[in-house]
Amino acid sequence: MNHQELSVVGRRLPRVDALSKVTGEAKYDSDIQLSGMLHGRILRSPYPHARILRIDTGKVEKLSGVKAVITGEDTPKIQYGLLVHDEQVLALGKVRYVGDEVAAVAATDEDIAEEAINLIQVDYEILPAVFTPEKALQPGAPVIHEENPSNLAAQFHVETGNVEAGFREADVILEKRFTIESVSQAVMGPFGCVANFDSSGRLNMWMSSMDLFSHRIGLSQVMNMPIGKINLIRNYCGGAQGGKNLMEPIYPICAFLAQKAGKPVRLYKNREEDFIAGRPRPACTIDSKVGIKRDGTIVARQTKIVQDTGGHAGFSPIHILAYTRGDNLYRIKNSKTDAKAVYTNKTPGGAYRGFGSPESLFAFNSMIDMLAEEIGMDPLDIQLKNGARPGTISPHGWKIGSCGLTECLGKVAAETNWRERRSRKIPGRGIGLACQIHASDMRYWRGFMGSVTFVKILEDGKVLVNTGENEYGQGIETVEAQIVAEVLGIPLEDVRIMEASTDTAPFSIGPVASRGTISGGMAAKLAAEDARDQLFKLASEMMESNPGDLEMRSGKIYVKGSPERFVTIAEVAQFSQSREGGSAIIGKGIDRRDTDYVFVCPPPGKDQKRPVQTCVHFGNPSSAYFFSAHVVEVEVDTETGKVKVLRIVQADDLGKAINPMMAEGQTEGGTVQGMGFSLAEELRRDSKGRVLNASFLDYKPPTTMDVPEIKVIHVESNEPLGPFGAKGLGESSQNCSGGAMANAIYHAIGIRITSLPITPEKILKALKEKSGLNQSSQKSSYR
Amino acid sequence: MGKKNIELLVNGECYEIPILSSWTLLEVLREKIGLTGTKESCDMGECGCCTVLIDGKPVRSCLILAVEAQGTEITTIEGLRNRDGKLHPVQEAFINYGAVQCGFCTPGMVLASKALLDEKPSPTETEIRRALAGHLCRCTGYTKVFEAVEAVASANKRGL
Repeated sequence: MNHQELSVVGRRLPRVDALSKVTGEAKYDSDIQLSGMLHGRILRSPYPHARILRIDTGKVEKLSGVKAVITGEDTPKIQYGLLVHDEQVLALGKVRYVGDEVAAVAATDEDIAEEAINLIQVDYEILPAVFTPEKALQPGAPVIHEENPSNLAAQFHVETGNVEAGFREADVILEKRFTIESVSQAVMGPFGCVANFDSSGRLNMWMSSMDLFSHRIGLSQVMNMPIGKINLIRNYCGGAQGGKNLMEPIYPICAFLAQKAGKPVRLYKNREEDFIAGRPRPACTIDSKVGIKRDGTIVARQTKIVQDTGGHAGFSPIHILAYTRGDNLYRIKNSKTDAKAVYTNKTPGGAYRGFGSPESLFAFNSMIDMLAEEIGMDPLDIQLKNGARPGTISPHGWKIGSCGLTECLGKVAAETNWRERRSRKIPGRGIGLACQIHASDMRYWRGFMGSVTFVKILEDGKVLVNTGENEYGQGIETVEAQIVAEVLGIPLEDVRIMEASTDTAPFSIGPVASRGTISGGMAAKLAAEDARDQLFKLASEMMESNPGDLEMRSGKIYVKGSPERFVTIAEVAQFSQSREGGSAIIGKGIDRRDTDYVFVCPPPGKDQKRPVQTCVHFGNPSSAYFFSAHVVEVEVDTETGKVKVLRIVQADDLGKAINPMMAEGQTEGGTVQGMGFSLAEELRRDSKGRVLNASFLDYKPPTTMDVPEIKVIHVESNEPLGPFGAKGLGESSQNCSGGAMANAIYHAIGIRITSLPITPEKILKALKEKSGLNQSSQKSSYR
Repeated sequence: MGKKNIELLVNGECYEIPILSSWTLLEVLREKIGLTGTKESCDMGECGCCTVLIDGKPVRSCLILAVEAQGTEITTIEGLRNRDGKLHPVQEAFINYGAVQCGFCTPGMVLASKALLDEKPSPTETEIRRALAGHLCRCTGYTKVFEAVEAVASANKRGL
């Protein structure tokens, strides 16, 4: 396809949802108000680890205005979780973190609900708690799940080549430990839902979710209800960032309250609850060992990752696999990675944009910088020498199709005058480089891992798109609308995205794992092409010509070469619908590319209740991979330890920008999140496992005052398997942030920080240690 | 607890509503008047999502009681278009410069930007950053928001 001819795709057009969002018209899940709606509240555990001896709800039931009270005893004893089934709707027998759900009420207003949960009396037997994986794995450590006394929730191993032989070839071997703290997605839209049962017993829900279909499956299992009895209604979602894709307890709790009360219930976490009982990116420790030759060839790499999983591990087997995805950034022949997920008495971990790669690529991009110094080479050259190339097979067997990594590195280097700037020492100022790979869509299950879109042609020539994908700010509605408009040769204004629910929308995997554009976009393209073929067939009947001789432009179908012979799309749609035996024109698009990928997590054996999940994987998990490079320039105040980010230049290989303005905005946002992740954000806890900074004021996401100049460069590598050459993009930025920041800080002040976030305290401490070291080395003549 | 009638002037319309004196303006706007364009996020005055204009000044509606807003002119995001339905230039700019993603912070950002531009038609970049410093956004990284507000500022400067 000649992209020069594109008229809608590739243009900086306003989003299709922008008008409704700037006027306050856009309806979010939390805007839903139903008549007679009750307000729910959850009673949460004040202890990190305790046995529940008794729950007395007697006083609550007598309180006027309370319509339902539920505890673990009122909900089915079904254990759920994506891969490890270790969670209940409400705690049964035990609580495992501060914030664990113990009981819930629904009342006629929020004040009564609040009063009611305070009247619930719970007798706890406090158990010893454990807050680090290291301690949790020690013999005699408190057991968090009795079914699995080891506290080891999952482990994953992946190996290519011969690491020992590889290290023997190395001229320099470096080993370093990296630690990464837990961070919250901290999105603006609150987390929760409104649930209502109709008189036939069907559950209707409006929820803050990235994806409705996976939640329909989850609710069906936990509530023991058939899929057909659950309808999840799509609304705008106030941001997700990966944090709204798990079946968290709040949804079934709300549904059970609504069922018991016989009335609609609204249940949302307040901001504090979101910080203490969300599903944050969990902390982890990464031990990295890398061997390199003097010519810059990386010959071996060994990585050990331990995740601090928290009280539940449903998601962990995938998460620890995800840490290893960054391994594929380089063409390394000998590579071995082991990852473990370990239970602790902390908030269970979840997904946050980048999912594993912000952590692992912080470690690896830092290692490259350190190795560069060891062998006296520019880190840019090491990245260029070892980085992924088009048409290669990665260490894990990924088939790298389009790959603009070399171009991304070249562009950020040129834009920042990298080599010259790096060789020039300016006191307190430094420049750092990092790059990343990410999978465009992870198709890790057997069976359908794709997306479906329907396109309806209306009698006035306008077009409705019914997509299975959800909009949470990332822009999938606009991407699909632009693609449909392009295929049908009509302006973007003529395409509208339909309101939908799980009843009406076609089943899709949902916009997780950066798959919206490549999978949803492809489904939209196929649906529009199907509709176009139907239009051509009908138009050929109307104009008595061959469908192959027709072309589409500006809402009209022409006989090629005869500008006077045309029918409008509206006329064809009317003809189709009004003739004998006719019908509306509906195009159907299915993106159903399956991969040869295998991810195995064996189910529990017969004699074991819940053993450690030992997972392996092989094959190519994704249709395409996207790449980026960042150069960050910082200024470090050595008096206060404060890092000021001066400028960020990033190049993103996104295949093709369907909408360059949106693509820039998406990664600019990710880059600013990455600044927070790298320099400031962490969920801090006291010695009793309580989160100390459970508010925006104390957690401190970046504000307008923190943001530097950000320049985004698009590298269009034209992915053959993507719609109009496009692939994923959304999760790129944070993958580069940690490494680029740490490297820039090192360049500025010669201090290597291997622990995120790089706070002023850590910098000052390291500066102090370094100056102590300098003094002692001056004394001892040799160092 | 007895409710008491109050009168609120919102977007040029007068509402007489029975309320409890403990209700915040945010609660009343969203749940009693049904103006859900004003968003509730932190409910503690930290995020800026619930910002409305009171006599033209940006105010966190979660931090003031509805009774305190009597006798003032309240503008919410729904009231920003002019009578002919034409968008305010700030709304236009947010659309055209890609300053909207999930949109949850957008009503507050738009109103705070409008208030700034009313007071200072062509603010500097630093003044824009300061005016929006209390408005958190997790999607945009703020860059396109600055571009949008700067575009209006520069049009004002050119006298457009």
